[in-house]
This record gives sequence, structure tokens and C-alpha cells, in this order.
Amino acid sequence: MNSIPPSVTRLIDEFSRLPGIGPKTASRLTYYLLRMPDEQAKSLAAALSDLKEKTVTCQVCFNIAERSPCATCADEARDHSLICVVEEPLDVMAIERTREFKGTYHVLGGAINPIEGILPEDLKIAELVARVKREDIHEVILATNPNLEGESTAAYIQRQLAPHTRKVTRLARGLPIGGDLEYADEVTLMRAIEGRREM
Amino acid sequence: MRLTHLSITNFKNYARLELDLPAGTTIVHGDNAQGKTSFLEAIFYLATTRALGSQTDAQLINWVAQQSGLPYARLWAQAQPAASGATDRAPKQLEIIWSQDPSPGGASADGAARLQKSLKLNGVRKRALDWVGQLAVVLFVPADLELVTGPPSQRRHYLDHLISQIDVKYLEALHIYTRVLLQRNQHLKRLQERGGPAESLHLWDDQLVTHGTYLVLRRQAVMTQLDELAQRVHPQLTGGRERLRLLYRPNLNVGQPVDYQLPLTLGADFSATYHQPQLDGGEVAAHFYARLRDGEPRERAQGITLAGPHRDDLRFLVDGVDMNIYGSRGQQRSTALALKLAEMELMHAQTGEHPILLLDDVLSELDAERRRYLVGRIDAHEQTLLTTTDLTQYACQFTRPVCVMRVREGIMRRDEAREREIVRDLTSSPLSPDQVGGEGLG
Ligand SMILES: [Zn+2]
Repeated sequence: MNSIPPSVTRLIDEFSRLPGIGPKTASRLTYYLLRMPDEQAKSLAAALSDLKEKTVTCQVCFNIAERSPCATCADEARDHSLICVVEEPLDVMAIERTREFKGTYHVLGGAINPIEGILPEDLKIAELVARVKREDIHEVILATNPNLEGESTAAYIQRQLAPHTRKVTRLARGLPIGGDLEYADEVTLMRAIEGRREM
Repeated sequence: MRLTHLSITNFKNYARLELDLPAGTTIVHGDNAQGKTSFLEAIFYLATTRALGSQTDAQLINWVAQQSGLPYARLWAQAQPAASGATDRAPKQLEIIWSQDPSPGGASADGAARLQKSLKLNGVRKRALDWVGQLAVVLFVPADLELVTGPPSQRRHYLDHLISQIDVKYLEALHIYTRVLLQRNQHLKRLQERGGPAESLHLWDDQLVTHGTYLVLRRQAVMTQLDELAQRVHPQLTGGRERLRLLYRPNLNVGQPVDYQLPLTLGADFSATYHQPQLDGGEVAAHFYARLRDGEPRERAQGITLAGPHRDDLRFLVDGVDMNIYGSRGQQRSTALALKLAEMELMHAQTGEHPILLLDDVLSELDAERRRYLVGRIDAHEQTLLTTTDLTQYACQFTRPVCVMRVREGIMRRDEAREREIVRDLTSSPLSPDQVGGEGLG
């Protein structure tokens, strides 16, 4: 009875695994792609395979990049004594959009969240401490999300860094509580960076 | 506070209901499963934004509406603050709407529609936190007995819901505390599985202590007040023969001996022996930190957080005897009823409004003495909505006019013919509510 080709059901299944996509949306997307012109579909497929093949993790800041160290870490014009600590690569993009921040980044890869199975050692926290010990760092800005997990992660990192650095600051409370950095608008984020407080 | 109009669409037994509600007492009667409880549930939900028991929101939607594939339900009520005392006397409209979540992924894995709920006060959308204190109700159900006879978790939930209705900060602190506790317990479990350095566990402690301490202090304050109020009402339920105490027993019992082994009988002045704990925020916090630090080996072994208000209990003593363990059924019922009546007084003291009383078939559980007292209180109250399968229980009990409704298969009709039999013959001299207790049963 099942007349749907396996290549179609396979793509539906793959889409269904993505965040926020249910079986209905997955089918809709798949049938949309079926009707797409060949070259457009091929370009999408190429983009998808390049995504994994042509990206690496920067071994300094752990952001996603085309090479390691990444363009930001290699940029002599940036202030390398200043590190902004964020949860995800998307947070780097959000802060870069403000054009306010001239330092470097450190991407943790999430927040401490045991419910999701994430303990401190699963994040790039030890790497951050090592980096602060190794380099001449004047200030670390903790820009984790202003929710319970983000705040707890910031407090934990602050304690780890305390013996090794002069100044640890936290983004100001201009951010909506319980919100995600990724979705904060640029003006709010700019004010939050300007108004950061010492921990 | 009283409701002047209630409108229900697709909620439980009701496809549609439009009802004007009078002040005083309204009795809804009918057979089981016709919509008596659903009627009270609708009002309870409007007041508290939560369902009775452990029902999911999907279970609240009328099944006909569910079958149609377009789940939609709505509750709407107009409430009138009391004419005296309230600063803001304008009537308010409360509205709750459930509809299908239109966002992508609005269907769960099995393809069933997901519901989104929106709350509106006077037509303006509100968060659940803004809803606190808008409409005060006290619900009496036969299962209230379990507050006395059941496990500690039931008493904690009761107290949490009660304080959340009057203190929005408590509701917030409770949300955060619950989440931090869950994270900390998961952290302990992961440490059990993987081993590793334990000191990271304590990264949750600051939040746990800050919010946990607030819960402890508020619980203590509210229990002190409930205890005083219950001590006043309980003698009237028991002919003054027994003395009730409602005591808070915090898990963080700063410097207090735990009095779990009570002698069965104590002298009349036993209440002098049993104090509410007098807790200071700084001491509670310091004690909490110490318990988390010292308890770490045991916590790692058991995989759960062992100290904190999530392990609190309440103790209900009648003449020094713990009602949870040793009470007779009658004593336990009086205790539960005294607790609910104290709750009603507490709401009034805290909000300046008399809460709306909702009683779901509770009279049949009570003996004649307690029944007369309760009806007397209802008779004098600003607004009460109660349900019964047996209207004759209320015959000749009320002095004020009562509205009687009959419900059958989700349709409610005024039953004027039976209103007369509820009200006592008014040609005799009017009585004060206190006197009602002594008469009326002939
Ligand atoms: Zn880099």
C-alpha cells in the first residue's frame, strides 16, 4: 500500500529531526523541494555538504570558522586582552552586529544544564581558564543568556577565573530576563555591553 | 468580590453556557456527570489558571470540540469588587482562551494539535504572573480530607497554591526554586553516572538558597496566620471541646528539635509547648548553606538534594495529637474544614475582598453540627456557588434568598420551584448567622 519512494520518506524523517519541525512541516518542505528546479536543489545540497566539510572549530575561541585560528582571533586590529564569553556561535553574530565590541570571543558550546546532560566539563570552560592564564587578559565579559542556566554558568565561570584575572564583568540587565541573546535587538545588546558590571 | 456573569464555550461538559450570577448563594443540583463540577472548575480555572487535580489542558476541552479537529475553548467572567473597602471598584472582565498553536511545529509528534492558552484581563493580554490576586476563590471538595490524611507533598502543594494566589513574588520564587532543584538533582544523578569533581554541584546553591529562603519565610508567616485563624473557627465546629493547632515544620529547622515523637495525650496547655518556628532569613540561609555543604556525601550517594523547603511538612494537632496519624475520621474532617475556613479568612485579610466560595458536594461528608455551622457561614457570605446531588440536604437551611439551578447534560436552568424549600420560613424573627447553627434542622 505504501507507494511513497524511500528517498522521499527518508528526507521527511531527516527534516522531522530538526528543532521546531513536526511531521506535517517536514512533509511540506520535502514536497516543496521535489518541485524545485534541479540546479536550485543541487545548490542547496552543496551548501549542506560544505557546511560540514568546509568548517572547522577555531582552537582559540571555539567559534565555527573556515580555518583555525578564525578571522577574529587572527585579526591584529582587535583587542586581544578582552574576551567576551558566549554560549553559542549565533551569539557571536548577534554581538558583532552591534559593531560595538572590538575584543575577541570565547564560545562555550552551551550553558551548564544537567537536565540536558550538560555539566561544566562538557563546555569549553577549562579551555577558557587556560586561555586566561596563558594570555595577557585584562577583562573577561560573561555574556551568557540572562536565564537561570546562563546566570548559573556565569557565576560558576566567575569563580573559576577569580584567581587568574583582574576583571570579570557581566552584561547589564538591559536584556530581557529569561530571554536569549540571539534574539535581543542591537540597541538593547549595545547598551548591555556598555553597561556591563563587575562580578 | 463576586461574579456577575459567567460565559463558557466548549469547556468540559459545557458546549455553551451564559449565566448571570446573583449575590449570595447559588445551588446547582443534578445527577452525577451532568456538569456540576465542571461549572465550579470553570470558575476555579478563571481564578487560578490551573485545573483541578492532574488534568491536562487538552482534557478540559469539550470532547465535541475536540472531535471537530478545531480545538477551541473559552471562559469569560465579569467580576464585581465589593462596594466597600476596595480601592478599584470597576468591574473587571477575565477571559481565558485555548486554541490550536498556529506556530510551526504546532502539532506534537503524534499529529495531535497542541494548545495555546491566552489570558486577558479587561481585553488586554496578560502573563500568568499578572493574574495573581485578580479573582480570589476558596474551593471546598471532599478530597480536602487528604490534606490531613495524605502525604506531606499534598500539604506543601496546598500551601504553595494558597500563597501563590496572594503573593506573586512567591509564585516566581517557587518557579525558580523548582527549576534549580531539578537542575541540581540532575547534576547529582550525572555525577553518580560519570563520577568527576563534585564541587561544580554547588554552583546551584546560591539560587537554591536565595529562593528557598524566601519560600520558607513566607510559608512560616502564612502558617502563623492560618494557625491563629483556625484556632478561632475550630471550636465552633467541635462545640469548643478540642483545640486545633496548624504548625509549620520546615526541613530547615534552624536549631529546633524535631518533635515527631509526640506523646498521645497532653494537658490542656499543650499549645504552649508547640510553637510556630521563629525564623530569621539570615539564619535560614546560613543553615541551608551548611546543610548543602555537609550533606554532600549523602546527596551524592542518593542522587537527590536532601535539604530545603521541598521537604517541608505541616502538622495538624488536635489537643496535641497528630491528626495525620491518630485522628478519628470526624476529627480529621473538622481539621480540614477549619483549615479551609481559615484560608477563606486569610484571603480576606490579605486581599481586602471576600473570596468567592466554591463547594463541590461537601455537605454530605459532614455531620449535622458541622453542616449547620458551614451553611450558616455560607448564608452570610458575599457569594457562594455550591453543587449537590441531593437538594433536600439544604432544606430550610438558609435565611436569605437562594438561587437554585438544575443542570442536565451540560444545560443549566433556573429551578425556581425548588428555591422556596431551601429558605427557612421568614415570618419568624430574623436570625444572625451565628444562631443559624442551633436551628433549622427539624
Ligand atoms: Zn577564534
